[in-house]
Amino acid sequence: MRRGAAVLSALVVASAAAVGLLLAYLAAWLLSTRGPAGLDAGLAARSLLLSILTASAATVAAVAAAVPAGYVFSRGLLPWGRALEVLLLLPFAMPPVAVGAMLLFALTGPLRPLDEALGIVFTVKGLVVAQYMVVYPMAVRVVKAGFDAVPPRYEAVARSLGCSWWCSFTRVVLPMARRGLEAAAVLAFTRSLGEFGASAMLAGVKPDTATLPIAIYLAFGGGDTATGVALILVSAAAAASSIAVLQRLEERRG
Amino acid sequence: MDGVSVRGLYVERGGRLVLRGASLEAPRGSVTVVLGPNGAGKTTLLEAVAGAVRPRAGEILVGGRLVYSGSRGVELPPEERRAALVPQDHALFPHMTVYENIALGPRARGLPPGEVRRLVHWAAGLVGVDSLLDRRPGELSGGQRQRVAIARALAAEPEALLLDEPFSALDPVARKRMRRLLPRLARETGVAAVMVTHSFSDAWATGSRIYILEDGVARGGASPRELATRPLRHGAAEVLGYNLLEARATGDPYTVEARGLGPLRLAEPHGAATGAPVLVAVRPDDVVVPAPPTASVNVYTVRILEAVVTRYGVRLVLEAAGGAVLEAEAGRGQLHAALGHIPREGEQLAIHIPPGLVDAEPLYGASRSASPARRVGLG
Repeated sequence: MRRGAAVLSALVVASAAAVGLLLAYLAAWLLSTRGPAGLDAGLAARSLLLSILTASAATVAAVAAAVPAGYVFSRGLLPWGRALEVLLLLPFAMPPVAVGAMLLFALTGPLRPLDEALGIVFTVKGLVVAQYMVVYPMAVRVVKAGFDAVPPRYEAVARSLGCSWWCSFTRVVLPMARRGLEAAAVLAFTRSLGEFGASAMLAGVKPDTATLPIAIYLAFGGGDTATGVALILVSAAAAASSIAVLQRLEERRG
Repeated sequence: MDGVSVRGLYVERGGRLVLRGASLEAPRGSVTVVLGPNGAGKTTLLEAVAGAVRPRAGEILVGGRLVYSGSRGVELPPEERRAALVPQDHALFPHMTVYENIALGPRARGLPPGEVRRLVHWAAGLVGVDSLLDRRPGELSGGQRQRVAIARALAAEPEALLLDEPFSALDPVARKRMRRLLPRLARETGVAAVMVTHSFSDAWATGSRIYILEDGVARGGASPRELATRPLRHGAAEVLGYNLLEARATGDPYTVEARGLGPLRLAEPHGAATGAPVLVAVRPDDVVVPAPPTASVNVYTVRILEAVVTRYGVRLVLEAAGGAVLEAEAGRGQLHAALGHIPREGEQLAIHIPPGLVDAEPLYGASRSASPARRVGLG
């Protein structure tokens, strides 16, 4: 039993070490190749800021929209709930580039008036829409799990005490499902930060819509490997911060 | 009637009809107990009264007000029913302090802060949790959580207090305390308390009126004493574990001929025509083992089929010469004093059934006795 545990632990340590070594190698390569002075700090800062802003907007929208959906699915309020859930979660399982292409197809076709009014395709707004589409299904799943953790009898008790449905939802159910909402927000944000396929299709691969992943793609595509590597390290740092927040949430839950 | 009235309630859950015309009356100022095994529909009954599940038919009145009627299309939302639930696991809101938990009902009704504060302290004082108001539910013991859940319900000033197995998670000390507390609370607040439980001892210790819920129907609705002495009248003999014997009325109004046992003397007339079937119920601990020398009637020779020493005494399965099988329970001291030993399987001895402790009801004919026949599948 102890030996088995040691083997498993060794595998975990080796996997983590592989990621750490890879990042360390990239950092060492970067320093030896160009040094910190030679990097385009402005590009890194711009793409990081754009990533954070668009990911934040997509996260807020996705979690807000996931609350009613998660509740409806958790409580089984719809007669065809499972079929609807499959449709709603479809973008999560599809290749992001396909989701982006789908959106592009719709917004340049039947939904063109909407795009003309809002200016979505090949703009920063397109980044938010693309990220939203990709992370919303995941947010629904996590928020639903949050509501699942609140047994319906808590609502029944609150209502028997004189609370209306809205009162019991806002004072009892939502606060009790808060951890699920927080986890959904962190996961959605983390996933949005790294979103490339849908964003590239809908917002384009160009400097004014260059989030971190798009900027990395542009850098490597333009032959500026050092900038690409630097952006990889920045995105790794951003992702590490998100994961650390998620771990804090899990610790509080535990 | 004030309090809670449930009339002919049908509730379906998971495709199964859990309640099949259940009816009960729970008066104000007392604890009405609904006793039944797990899965009998006890929780469903409470949830239907509170409005957490929708019945298929029937009527529910809380505080004299119709809150649900299938035939008249009445269905008040839960928050307007004034029927506060206290679930089995207490369901205290973990993100709130004890104060906030208790204050939820008054706040939901839009009462001014001063009135909310007054109600919280009043309810907390009633159940003795006024020193815990700043705590979180996670910091409380099981008994404390139970009392907070009851205070929370009382602070909502309900007409009905619906308690689901309130003693199940309590240690023996807290259980004793709650058994005394509940009837007092009902009396002092005038609330109609409906408590569901599977525990006979909790039911008898707490209820001023007891129903037995089985097969989706509530039977009984009598005081604990009435139910214990006249279980056949209330269709409760089998559930309560009484010995049930088929008998025939004899010409003597005080004697029946019990099948497999012989003539059985009663303290009250059986009320049946000569030869008519009569059902007889005898509590196992009312069977006197061994028969005292002074007993002149209802003395039978039996053989012990089974003798099990339990925590409280000895449970005996006895077979009479005519084939009737009876259960008896006796204290070890009583048996030892009379026999000089604890009887074993195979032994023969004489037992006595005191006429005053026999419940008998005609199986057919008499209007009050329709249920006993059905209870044992003879109807």
